[in-house]
Amino acid sequence: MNANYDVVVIGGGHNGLVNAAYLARAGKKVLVLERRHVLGGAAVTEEIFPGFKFSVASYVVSLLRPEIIRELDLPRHGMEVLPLDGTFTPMPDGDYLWRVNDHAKTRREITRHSRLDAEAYDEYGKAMVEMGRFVKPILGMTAPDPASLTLRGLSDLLSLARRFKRLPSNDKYNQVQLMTMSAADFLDQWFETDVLKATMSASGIIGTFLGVRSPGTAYVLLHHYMGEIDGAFRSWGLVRGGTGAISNAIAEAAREAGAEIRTEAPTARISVANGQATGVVLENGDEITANVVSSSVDPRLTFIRMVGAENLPGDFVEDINRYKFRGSSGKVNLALDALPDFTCLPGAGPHLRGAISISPSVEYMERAYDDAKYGRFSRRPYIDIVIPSLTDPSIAPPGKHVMSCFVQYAPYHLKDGTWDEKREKFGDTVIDTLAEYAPNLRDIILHRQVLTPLDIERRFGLSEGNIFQGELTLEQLFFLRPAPGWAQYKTPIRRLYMCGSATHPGGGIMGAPGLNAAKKILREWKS
Amino acid sequence: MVSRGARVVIVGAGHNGLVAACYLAKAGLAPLVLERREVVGGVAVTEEFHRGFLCPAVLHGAGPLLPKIAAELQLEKHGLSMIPSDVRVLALDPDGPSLRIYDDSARTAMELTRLSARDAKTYAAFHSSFEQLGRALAPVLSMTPPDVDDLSTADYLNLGKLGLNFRSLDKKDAYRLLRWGPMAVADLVTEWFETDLLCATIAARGIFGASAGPWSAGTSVGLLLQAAMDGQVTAPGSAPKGGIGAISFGRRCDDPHRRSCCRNSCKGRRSGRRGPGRRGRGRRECGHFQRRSQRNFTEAG
Repeated sequence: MNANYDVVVIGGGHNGLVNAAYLARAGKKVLVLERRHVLGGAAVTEEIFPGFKFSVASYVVSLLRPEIIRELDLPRHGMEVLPLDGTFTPMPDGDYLWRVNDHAKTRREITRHSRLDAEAYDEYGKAMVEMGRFVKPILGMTAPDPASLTLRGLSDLLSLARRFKRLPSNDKYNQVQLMTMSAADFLDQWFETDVLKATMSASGIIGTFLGVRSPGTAYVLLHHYMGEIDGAFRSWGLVRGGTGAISNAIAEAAREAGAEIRTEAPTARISVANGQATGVVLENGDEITANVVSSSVDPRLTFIRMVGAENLPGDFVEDINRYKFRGSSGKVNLALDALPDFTCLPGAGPHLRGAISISPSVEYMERAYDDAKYGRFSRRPYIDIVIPSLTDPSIAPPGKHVMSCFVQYAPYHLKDGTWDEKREKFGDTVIDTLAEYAPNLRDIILHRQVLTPLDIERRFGLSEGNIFQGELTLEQLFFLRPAPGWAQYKTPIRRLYMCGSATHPGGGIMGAPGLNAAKKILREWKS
Repeated sequence: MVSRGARVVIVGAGHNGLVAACYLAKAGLAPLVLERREVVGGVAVTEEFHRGFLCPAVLHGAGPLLPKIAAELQLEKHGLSMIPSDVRVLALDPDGPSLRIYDDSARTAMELTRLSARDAKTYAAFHSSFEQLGRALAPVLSMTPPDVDDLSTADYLNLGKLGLNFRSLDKKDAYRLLRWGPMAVADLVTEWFETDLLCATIAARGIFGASAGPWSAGTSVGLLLQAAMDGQVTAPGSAPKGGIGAISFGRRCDDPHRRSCCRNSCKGRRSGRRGPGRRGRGRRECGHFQRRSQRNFTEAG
C-alpha cells in the first residue's frame, strides 16, 4: 500500500505529541492532527484576556515521566519547571494550615495543630514514597491481560508478585489498603487533625466522581504521590509560560525528529477496510492514508464517533458505552488587579506562591460531594488554587496576576437545567466561597473565565468533561482501561491504536500512555 | 499442638463460637463455650420480646449459613427445619407494581416482563453470569485467608485452586469478575437493568450491613459473596422454623465422645469462671441441649 504516512496521530495533546515524537525518532513518517488552533489538548496556555496567559485547563506538573523529559530533551526545547512551594489551607475559624517543602517548617506548623500528627507526617511521607516506588514500574509496563496470559504478561505479573513479596510487611498491608480504602479512612489511620486530613484527602478525589469517604479513593492519593521532578518524589511544579509550554516543547522535539503537525485539522472519521484502519478523513473532506492510525482522543470519540459502532464487535461497543466519564470538575480562571488578601494570614506572603486549598474539613469535602451525587454543583466546593504569575511574571502584565481555580464538584449531568444556564451561577458560587476567606477578591477581578464540564467537553474534546479521559476507578484501571481485553493500546480494528489518557496508566500530564503506545506500535511494526 | 481431650475455651456462644465448638468437639477436643447472656446465639437469636411473640431479635434471615456446615453438623437432625420459600425477595414500590424475585431465574424473568421486556430478557444472562462467578469464588468462603507475609503450602494450594477456577471461567465472565469486584453496586446493576425497583432491590444486597451507599465503590462484593454461597444475587427467602435462634439453639454435637459443653451466665452469677461443683453441674454437655423453650434452657445453664 502506498500510504501518505506511516502513522497518523489523532489529537495534539501531550500524549499524542509524545507518541508522535517517539515514532518519528524511530524513523517513521508521522502526521499529528489537532482539531484546535493550539496544540496541547488540556495542557495548553492561552491568552484569554490581553496580557494574561492562562494554563486554561491543567495547571500544575509533576507526573511527567522523567525518561520522556530526558529522551526528548525537553529543557532544550524550552520547558522549564518552576517550583511550587507548599499548600496553604485557610480555615473558616481564622486559623490555617500551611505546609511547605521545608521539612522543619512544616513540622513546626503541624505541631501547632497536633504533636502526634507531626510525627506521623514523617512516617506517612516515607510510607507513601515506598508505595510510589513499588507502583512506579507499573506505569511503564503494558498491562498484562489476565484472561489470556502471554509469556510476557505472565512474567510481568510474576515479577510484580515477587516485588510485592519483597516489600516489608507493613508496606504490603498499606498497599492492599491503598487499593481498597477511602482516602479519608486511610488518612484517619495516620492523623487526627481534621484540616490536615481534608487537604490531603483532596488528592484522592481530583478528577473523580467520588467523595473523600468513597472506597477506592486512597489509590488516587498514591497516583498523585508518584510525581517526580529532578528525581525528587512528590514535588509539584509550574511551567514557565504555563502548561502549554510542555506541549510546545514536546511538539518541538517531535518536529525535530521529522514529525509533521497540523492544527485546525479536525478528524471526522477513521477509515476502515476489512477490519483494518487505512487512514483518516478530515472534517473538510481531505483523505489521508496511513499504515497505522494512533488515536489520543478518548474511546467514545475514537470508536463511537470516528470508527462507528457498525465496524466494531457488539461486545466491544457495549464496553465502550459503559466506560465511565462522568466529569466532576470545572475551572475558573481569574485575571486579577492585585493579590487576594486572606483574613487568616494577611498580606502578600510566600503562602500565596504555593497551592491554596479550600478544604477546611473532611465533612466539608464530603458535603461538596453530596451535592454532586444528586446532580447539583457543590454549594461550597473544594477549590485548588494557584497564582502562577507570582512565580512566573511573564504571564501577566506588571503588578497584575493570574489566578487558576480548579473546582470540584461540578457534575456533567445536572438534575435541573443545563450548564449553559448555570455557568455564571457556578462562577458566582466559586467567587463567593473564595471571598469568605479573602474578602478583597470581589474587588480585584478584572476578567473571569468559567469552564463547566460541558465547556471542557466542547473546548478540549474530553467526553463529559472528564479531565482524565475517563474515571480513575479500579474497574477502569490497568488491564481494564479502557475495556477488558483491550488494555494494551490495541483495538479490535487492526492497525488502529490508542495512545491517550484513557489507556494505562491514565490521566495527568504524565505522557506514559503516549510513550507506552509508541513502544507497542514499534514492536508490532510490519510492512 | 493440642492433644486429644484438651480443654479449649471459646469466648462467646454466637453461631460462630458454637460452630467452632462443634468442630473441635468432633475432633475429640473438649471445648468450653462461655456466653455472657442467658441465651446462646449472639445475633442469631430468637427472643420472646413480648409474651407469646417469638422474634428473631437481630438477624432474621439464615441466608449465609453454609450448606456444608449445616450438613456436616447434621443440624436438621438436631431440630433445625427450614421453612422453604421460593420467593427470595418481595420488593414494594409506593407508586407502582411490586416485584418478586424467585429462586428460579426463569420465573423472575417472567415476573419482570410486567415491568420491562428488556430487563426480563437480560435477567437470565445476569443470573447465569453470577452463577458462574459464584462457582469460581466458592472456595474463598471456606478457606483461611492467606498470610501475605508468609504463604504456606496450604495457602499456595488454595490460591492455586482459585487461579484454576478463574482460568476455567468463560473469558467474558473472567473480565466481569475483575471489573465487578471493585465496582459500586449501583453502577453494576444499572449497566444491566432499566427498572429502578429491580436495580434497587439487587443493590440492597450490596449495602447490607455496610456503612456505604449503593454508589460507593466496592459494594458489588456483597453480590459476589452471595453468589459464592448459592449462585444467587439476593438473600434467600427461606427461614428457620422457630426463628433464627433455632440455628444456634438446635446445634449440638452428637459424637458419643463429645466433651463439649456450654455455659450460660445467669443473673447474679459471674460468667466465665468455673466453680468446681457449683450446683453439681457447672458444665453441661452439648448433647443435653434441650429445645423446649428458652426458659428451660436458661435454667439448665
